[in-house]
Order: sequence, then C-alpha cells, then structure tokens
Amino acid sequence: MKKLFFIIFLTKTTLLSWEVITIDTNVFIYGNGGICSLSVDKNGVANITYDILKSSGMNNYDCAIGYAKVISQTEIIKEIPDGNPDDFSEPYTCNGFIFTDQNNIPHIIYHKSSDYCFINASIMHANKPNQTWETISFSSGICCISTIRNDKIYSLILEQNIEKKLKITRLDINTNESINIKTITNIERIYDANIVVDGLENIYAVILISSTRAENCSYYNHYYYITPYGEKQIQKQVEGATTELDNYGNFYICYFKQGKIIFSKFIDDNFTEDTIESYVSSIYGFSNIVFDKNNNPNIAYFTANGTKFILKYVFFQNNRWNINEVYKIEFEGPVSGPINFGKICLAIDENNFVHLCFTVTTFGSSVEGLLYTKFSKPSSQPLSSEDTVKPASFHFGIKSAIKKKINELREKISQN
Amino acid sequence: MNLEKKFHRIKNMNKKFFYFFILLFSTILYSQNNIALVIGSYGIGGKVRFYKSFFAEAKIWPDSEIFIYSFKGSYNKNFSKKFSIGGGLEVSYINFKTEDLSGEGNYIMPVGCFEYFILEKLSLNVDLGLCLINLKAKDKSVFGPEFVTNLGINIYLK
Repeated sequence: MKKLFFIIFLTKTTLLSWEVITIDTNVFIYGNGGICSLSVDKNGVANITYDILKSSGMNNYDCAIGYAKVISQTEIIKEIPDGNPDDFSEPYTCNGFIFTDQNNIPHIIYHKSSDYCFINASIMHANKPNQTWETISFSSGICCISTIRNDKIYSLILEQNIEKKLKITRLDINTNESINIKTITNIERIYDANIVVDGLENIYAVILISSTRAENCSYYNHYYYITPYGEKQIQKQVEGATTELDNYGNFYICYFKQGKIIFSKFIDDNFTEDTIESYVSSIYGFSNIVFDKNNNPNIAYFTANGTKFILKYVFFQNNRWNINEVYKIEFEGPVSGPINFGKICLAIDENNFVHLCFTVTTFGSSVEGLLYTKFSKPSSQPLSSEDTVKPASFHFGIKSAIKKKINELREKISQN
Repeated sequence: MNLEKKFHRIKNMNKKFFYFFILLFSTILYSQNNIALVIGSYGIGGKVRFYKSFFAEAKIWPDSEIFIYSFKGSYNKNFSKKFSIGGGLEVSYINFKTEDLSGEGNYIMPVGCFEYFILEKLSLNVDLGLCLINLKAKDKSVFGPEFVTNLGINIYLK
C-alpha cells in the first residue's frame, strides 16, 4: 500500500538537492548570454573556459577568455591564459572551446578580435604544457567548435567575410602545423555545429545553418551533414535546437517545437523522433548532447514554469527519459521576456559523474554569473523504471495478470 | 536448485499451508450458516457467511509455477432468490517459480461480486476487479494495476 500511495503522488519531475556553486560572477554576458565550455579530464577535474569581464565601466566591452579548474567544490583555480585582466586595451574576446588531451593538458581554442564584428578575428590556441600558458594564432574567423584526436585538433571555423565560408582545419599540437582540410561556401549563420573524428581520422560534422523566419514565425533550419561517405543537406523546421554525433557517427538533433522537447535520430534518410517532455511553455536553450559509455544520451536545458526559471538535466535509461530539476531561480512575476539565459555545458567523467556548468543572469538586473555543479548520475531515482507503472490490461483469471507481471519483471532484470 | 534449497522451499510451503488452513477453519468455525466449496478460475477454497450479508473466502491456486494464497472479504446483497450483487476486497500472497526466475509478491484487489444461483445449492460467481500486483525477484520489483475477471462455481454445503 505504501508503494501505491507513492505511485499516486509521484510526479513526472523530481526535485533533488543539487549543490550548485558559483565559480565567477565577473562574467561577460551579452546577447544570448555568456559563453562557456566544459571538459572533464581523466581525474574527473572540470576544466572550464568562459568570457570574463575585464572592466565593469560604462560602455566598456573589453573581456578576456577565462579558465577555471574545478578540483573540488571548494578548490577552484582561476586563470586568464591570454593577457592581463587589468589591461583594458586588450581586444574583444569570446567563444572559447576547451578540451583536455591524453596527458590531461588543457587546450583552449578561441577567437580574438579587435573589432566588434569579429570580421578579422584570429583563432587562437592556448595550452599549458609546462605550467604556463602558451598561445599561438593558427587561423582566422570565428571558431565554432573543435575536437581532438591523435594529438590533432580539428576545428569548424566560420569566416565572417563576404563569402561566408565554413572551413575545417587541423592543428597538430606537437608541431603547431595547421592545414585547411575542407571549405564549404555560402554558409549564412551557424546556429549550432559539431564535429567528431573517429580513430581512423574520418571526420563527421553536422552544421545547423539558420535561418529565415517563416510566415508562421517558425525557423527553417538547414542541416549540413558531412561524413566520410559524402555530404547531405537536410531541411527541418524547428524552434531552437542542438545537434550531436555519437561515437558511431549517428546524427542527433534535440529541438523544441510546439511545446514539446523532441529528441531525434537521423537514420536511413529519416528522422525517428522521441518526445522527452511535453507541455513545455518555453525553452531558453539546450546544452550539448553527451553520450555515455552505453551510448545513452544526456542533455540539459533551461525552461520556465510560472515564476520559476529552471535548469533541467535529462538522461535516457531503461528505455525512458528521466527528468531532473537541477537549478531554479524564482522571480516575482511570470518568467517571460526579461530573462537573459546563458550557455549550458554538460560532461560525464570516467566514474559516471555528471558535470554541468552554465551562465545565467536576469536581463538588466542581477548577474548570477558562471555556475557549476557535479553530481552522481542518478541511477536509482524514483523515476527509474522500477517505479514505472505500465498500462493495465484486461485478464481472464488472476493467473494471466500475474504472468504478465512476471514477464515485466524478467524484462527488467535482463535490462540490468 | 540444490537439496537444501528444495527442503527450505517445501518447509516454507508447509508453513503457508498451515496458516492458510487455520484461516479457512476459523472462518468456518465463526460462520453462521452458508458454507460453500468454491471452484473457479482463481483456484479452489471455501466460502462462509459469518455475519448477516458479510462473507469470507479463502482460496489457493495450486500450480507448479504460480502458487497463490488469497483471502476475500465481501458484502453481498440479495436482489432476488437467484441473484446477488456485492463488493469486497481480496488480498493475497504469491509465490512463483519459473524456469529462469523465482520470487514472491502479493496483490490487493477491490472487487465487484455477482452471484447467480443455478440451483438451490449451486451458484455461478463472477468477480470483476482492479488488481494491484507487486512482485519481487533478484532485488528487482514490479508493481502495477491489471483488470481481472474471475469466474467460479459455489457449491453450498449448508
């Protein structure tokens, strides 16, 4: 009976106590929020890059790329790899991307420009091989995203000049030699992009190119899909999305449309769609999609419910999506326009710990800054399949009903 | 299954049989009249009227795979000499052992009961209920509702 009452009062979303810490409040937040990037090394240490403000003066947009190493909730090392934070003559810097190599050395790819529009921005590579940061410029344009494989950094770089070219470059971290592998022309605006390189150095990339506003106020986005076997362009109308390739090169999109958050896999020229959550009033951004060791996807997103602005972490396990609320900000009035969300970054380490960092602020008011939380991946939360109630069916005789339940139990044991 | 485990299983079974028959005979002892033998899609057992229109029923399902001990309390209202309608609650203990899985569990089932007398001492019984089943094996459990219909014949002995 205890269990029956539990089931009756079970709601789809469970609030757990997540310990969220503030890494820095001195975060440069503009446009659609502060930019941050997260990578977890072999020791489970989180390496984060973000845009920090170099001054708080009026009309002063100077900022720098910041680096934070989160060893524990109380031990955080913060550095600025490029330049002096008090030197306001430094250029406008943003959009960093971080990862750690096989030797646990952090690598940051970011762009650095002296003009507001980043037209002639340099793509910089900073790493810390001998306890000090070394920085080189190896390309030009706006860096979208990078990955590392066999001591080579592969980057998708958008050149914001008249031709609007997207190029894929490869930088050897031992020799600092950079080559241009591929160029795609006539790219308008990149909404999201991802690049994956397999062990044979085959490149898989997906680029979400946006967008022309349609008559019904939805966005038409084009997915440009690069594989070792060729390239494809896919038309799909979505409102806000993030893309990812899993370790096998399969292409996924997580998007928001008509109050639903949908997770979609592109297979055999078709999308197979799975609804993560329905009746969502609004979405304020997705994290990257992370595939764990079992190739199960994990994702986080910002949404709102009445006066609450909520960060949710969801993961796929036991054939269902498990939704967890990680962070909430309460407002006096309903959450609507005056919210300035940030970027969310998700990573899972070798010990199955989930690391989440995100930037958040309210528009024109208090700045929350760069926040971070680390938690054990919920494997036995109340929403696991253990508590899933399957729909009732009709049986002639109690034995048939019990046999059905034995089969469900057998299925559950075999899944574990 | 080794011999020791087998022995424990038989020992446990006997214990449950013992409790079951204590329950069955105590209901018969306290019965006013109307004692019936019940044979149905849900097992065999006995049924007694212990107070006015209140009935108690104890049943077992003797099966090689699924063994069920159940007890039902019900209230039956006679609408005519031949027909009665009532409601009750059935609780049970389940023990199951299939080729690859063995475990135990229980269910609780609110039921609607319909009884039609074919002869003076013979009636047809239909139970309709929402059965909430809970099963456990290998540290895993399942729980959920199922709609169940049970058919039975009551042979009244007194």
